[in-house]
Amino acid sequence: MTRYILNRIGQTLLIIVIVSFLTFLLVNLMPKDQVYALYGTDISQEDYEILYKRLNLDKPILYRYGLWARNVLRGDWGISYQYHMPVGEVIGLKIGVTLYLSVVSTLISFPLGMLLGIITAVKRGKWQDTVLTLLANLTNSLPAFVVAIVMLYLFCIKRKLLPTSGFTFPWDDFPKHIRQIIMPMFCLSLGGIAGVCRQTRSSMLEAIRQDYVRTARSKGLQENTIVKRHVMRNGLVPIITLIGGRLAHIVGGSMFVENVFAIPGMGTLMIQSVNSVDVPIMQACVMMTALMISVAYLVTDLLYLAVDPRISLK
Amino acid sequence: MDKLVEAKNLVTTFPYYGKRRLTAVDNVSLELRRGEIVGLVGESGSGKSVTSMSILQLILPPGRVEGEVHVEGMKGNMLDYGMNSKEARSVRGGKIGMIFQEPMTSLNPILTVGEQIQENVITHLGLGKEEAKARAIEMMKAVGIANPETRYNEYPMQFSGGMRQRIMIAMVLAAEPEVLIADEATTALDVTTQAQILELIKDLAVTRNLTVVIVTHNLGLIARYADRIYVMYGGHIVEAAEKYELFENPSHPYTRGLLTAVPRLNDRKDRRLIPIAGMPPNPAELPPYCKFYDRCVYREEGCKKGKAPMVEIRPGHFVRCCLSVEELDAKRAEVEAQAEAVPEKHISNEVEIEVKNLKMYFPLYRGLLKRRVGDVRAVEDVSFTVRKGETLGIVGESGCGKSTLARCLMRALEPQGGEILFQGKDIAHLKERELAPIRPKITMIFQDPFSSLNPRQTAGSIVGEPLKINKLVKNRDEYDARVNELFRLVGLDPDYRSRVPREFSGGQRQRIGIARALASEPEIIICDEPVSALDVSIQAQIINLLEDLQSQLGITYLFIAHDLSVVKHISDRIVVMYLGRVVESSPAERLYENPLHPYTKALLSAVPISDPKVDAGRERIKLLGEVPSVLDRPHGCAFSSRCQYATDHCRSEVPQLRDMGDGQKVACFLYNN
Amino acid sequence: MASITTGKINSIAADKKAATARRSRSFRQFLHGLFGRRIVILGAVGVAFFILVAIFAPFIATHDPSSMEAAAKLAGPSASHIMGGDFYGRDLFSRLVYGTRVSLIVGVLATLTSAAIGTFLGMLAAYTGGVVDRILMRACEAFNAIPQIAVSMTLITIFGGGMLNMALILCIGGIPAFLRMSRAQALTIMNSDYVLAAKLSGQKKLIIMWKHVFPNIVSPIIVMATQSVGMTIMMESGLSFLGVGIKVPTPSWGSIINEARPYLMTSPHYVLFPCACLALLMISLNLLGDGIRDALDPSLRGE
Repeated sequence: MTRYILNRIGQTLLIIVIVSFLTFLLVNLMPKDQVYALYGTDISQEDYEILYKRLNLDKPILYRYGLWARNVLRGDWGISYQYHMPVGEVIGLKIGVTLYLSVVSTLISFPLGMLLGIITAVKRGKWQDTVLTLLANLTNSLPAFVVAIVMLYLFCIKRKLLPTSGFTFPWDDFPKHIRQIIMPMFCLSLGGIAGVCRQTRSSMLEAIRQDYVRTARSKGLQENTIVKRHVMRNGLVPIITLIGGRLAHIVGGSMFVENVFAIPGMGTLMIQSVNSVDVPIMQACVMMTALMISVAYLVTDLLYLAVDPRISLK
Repeated sequence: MDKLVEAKNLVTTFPYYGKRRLTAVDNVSLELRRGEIVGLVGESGSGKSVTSMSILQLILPPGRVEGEVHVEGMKGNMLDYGMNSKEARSVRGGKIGMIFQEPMTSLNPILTVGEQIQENVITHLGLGKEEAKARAIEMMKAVGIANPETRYNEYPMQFSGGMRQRIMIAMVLAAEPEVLIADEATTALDVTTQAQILELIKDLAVTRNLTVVIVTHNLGLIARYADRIYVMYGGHIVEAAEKYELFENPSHPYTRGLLTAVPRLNDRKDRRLIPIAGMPPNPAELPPYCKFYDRCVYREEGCKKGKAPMVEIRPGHFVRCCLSVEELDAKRAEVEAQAEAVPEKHISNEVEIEVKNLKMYFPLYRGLLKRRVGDVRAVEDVSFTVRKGETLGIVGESGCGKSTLARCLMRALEPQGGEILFQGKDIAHLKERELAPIRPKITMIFQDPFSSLNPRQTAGSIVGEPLKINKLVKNRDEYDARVNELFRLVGLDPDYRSRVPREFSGGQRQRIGIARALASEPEIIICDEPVSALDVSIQAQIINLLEDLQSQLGITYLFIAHDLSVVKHISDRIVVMYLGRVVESSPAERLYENPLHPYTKALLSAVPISDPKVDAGRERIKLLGEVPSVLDRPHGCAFSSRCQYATDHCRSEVPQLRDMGDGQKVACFLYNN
Repeated sequence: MASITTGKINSIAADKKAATARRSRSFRQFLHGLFGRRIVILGAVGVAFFILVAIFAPFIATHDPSSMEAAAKLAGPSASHIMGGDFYGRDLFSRLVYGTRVSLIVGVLATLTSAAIGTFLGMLAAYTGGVVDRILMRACEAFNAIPQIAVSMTLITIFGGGMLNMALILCIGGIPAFLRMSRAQALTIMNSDYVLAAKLSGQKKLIIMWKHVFPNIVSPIIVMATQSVGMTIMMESGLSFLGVGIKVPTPSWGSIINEARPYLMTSPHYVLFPCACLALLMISLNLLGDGIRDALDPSLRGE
């Protein structure tokens, strides 16, 4: 058990190291001269040479990766080309917003999606199932930015019901927060709710087919008890494993939503940094998302361990 | 005797392609009386399981059950109450309990076994939580589970198959039912475990005055345990009678066919099985007249005119057949005279394969760094010889190493030690390249006719593949001719060559597998449980085919199986294995007449003979415990932990095989002086 | 010997009938499974519609998608421009028609390449095992930890975002899923008895992979590929929408939407028409994909 957990943590660290190397490699392939990017293009040839050496650009890539990694471990992510500020400061302001959006969206889409999934599975073949499954199938496939734009059109432009943009943390101004977040949160969570609903439904139906449900029925239990004790618990356990993947989805999706609703989060920052080839920011953004997602995968696995006795017994 | 449960004219149908419905249970009437053990016997597709589930209203929509079920103490037809009504639920699990075939999947994996038993007690006896727990523990004790207090909190995966089935029984009995339905409850278990569970059920039936229904395909089991028997075919009950009456005067052509199709332990050496032609019934394609017509050897044109009536031919003996008893009996002699003789065998004195001290260990890794912490000793010091043209049977329960042994002989695995002399040449440690000329000489027939054929390959290509690999044919014409010949040899129409496995039935697929094994003109075929996945009527077809092929082609067989009756029927000599070691080796006849090793004796006694008169006279040996895992094989004699004769000597030293004369060898200290 | 043959003749005749029935049944089953539900037919019709539009784009488009007309600038739908004009006065309808081509070509091309590469690598991992397997699996896990969109964005900045580049970059994002699936499937099949049988009759390992393993992992790959086309199209339009994808003037739906955003208030049709196109294509693809999955593997349907 402890061994499994240690093993799993080791695996996560390994993945982070691999990701960091891959990002470093990729980002350094960028068609951008790092010296000019940092110090401007109007420097003399001699200065360029000196700065080039100072940035260690003449060293092999593995060496530079080592330096970079050492600095990152000390909390030094480099200087943003765009803002001419330490990356840590730039990102620190934005990461909270994205983290908040992603976590809240996960917290919304899982319980809601699971609830809808349970309803469709229990009422399978009835109208509730038909309607909800159809809705889930339709919304599951809609791109978040299309939903966002259509909502923007319907609720802000035609009726002026909600603000079109901006973000405020709930602890700063709660009513404003709610008004600002309704639409982004809906767009961000819609796909998640639909996906979780579909997966819950099929997992529940899988559980319903199992022999032990037949056993439960042969014991003369009430249909309600069978669903609650035997179908639901077994059907919902596999859903937990999806949290990590979903979070990755949501973090990706938040890029669109932040973009449409002008929310100053990491997604917006990432797009900016890509457009202006701000290498240090890009590195940091990718690393931070990878960290978030890996931790989510890790937590998922540990959660699974707690819920399913079969794993810890092995 | 009072009737506890009576089902009248049950009809169970399921939707099938749009508007059609297939009839799985057709007009079945049966009754259960207090304290008796009823056997419900039939092949797959006969409707036996659906019948028992219909009685309990376990058929879910869109399946539909019509007819009447009357339960003692309940007014009117139980089916009228609806499957989720309070009344139906109090019968289901309360009055009638049911245990199912798959012990591995029938318990909820994420609830403790205690909770699952307790649940039943609370539902039906209305006890409080603590009382229910006490009762659950009491029941676990009653079904022979040691330390029930601690095991109460364990999960199903911590129990072995046999133990899980005991938990199921405890769970069912905890609600004090009057009827227990065991639906193939022991089919997935080892022979000795199966005997233990059935003896337990039988004891419980006596002490608790319980009515038991044993639903099975195994004629031997009902011959041993049932009092009254219903034989099912194609959704009908085709024959019903008291046990002794049924086995003495089997009347329906299907019952007769079954009895002549199954091998028995007490068979004479020259008994030839008489298979039932065709395939087990597919409920979707049954004719409107007698369901057995297509496979019946007694059939006459008149049989096609209408449904066969159920006739009481003697008091309590019912038969559903268009022909009268007289007609049936008159034809019987004629039918049985057609039985073929056993084909001649040509066993030479030449040794085809000799195994000396074979060892196969699998490394066991543990921990973060996958350190090797020990070995699983799957095959330990196994030696035997097989002569050219003979059939050597290898029997044993799960974990005895018989399949690993087969894979070593095939050289799918490289053994750790010992020799495998094939025609005098040691092949145990040859490299893949050196094995190439040997490969075509030793081939294999697999257990599962579904997973052993590539679903995307045509039958012709499956059979022809070894020809191409080993370049046994010169050109396309020769290839075609040879593949056609192989198809005919195993009784398949060569026109089938272009079909894929999905289009064949189980028996036919096994024939394709046999044709593939024959393609490279092997000297030895290793048959790994070749018939255990097949229905009894099909088993006989395959066994006869194997016998014919041996006689015709002079092949040597290594026949590996857990079913002792089948092994005994087909083998000349038998090797009995237990936890990786050979405990006894003996000519087939001698093994049945004079088993020496205590394990062999127990194994033989656990296998019922499908003739109640013979079976009743046999000694029953109750074995202690279950087969331990190979990982904790007892020191000394592997069987010492379960042997009633075991001494300290047995627990410290491994007995070696000793020649006892008459070709018998045994590894037991009882015979050391 | 005579006994075997005579004994079998009658059963052969009966078997023949049964086998024919079984064959036609399995085909019927597939069609029944695929088109048995009206909703799947709807999806298939939708997909077919978009494919036809893409193929016959020059005949369907009413205008040259890049010719500008001052009068049509941001104009609403009219007889000459049925969906109105865009910011540069180009015919929106014609641009959307040509945009179908971009979406479908990128989606199909990227999926095909990622399916091919992923399957190859997955089978390679299963075949070699050991170090290769471990490296590939770790790489997959690392990929899983970064949102695909972030990877694609970085790659596009490096290599530029033409249609072909776009397809190749999106293909990279799709590889890990195919790799993991084909590896898992291949490992299961390599443990099956028919592979053992082939091995024992002396068949070479590579031929076994090709003849026995590959054909049996094709159908789950097809299922995954049908679903991946939709995901890829979504990703392409998303990237174009963020301005890092296919660059104007190539008419991609995503970039049209991006271009039109500032005019959401003044000429909503400019945004809403491409949104509707994208939504319709996505929904059709999804419905058809689900239908194909259910028909190929009825056990997943759970009805």
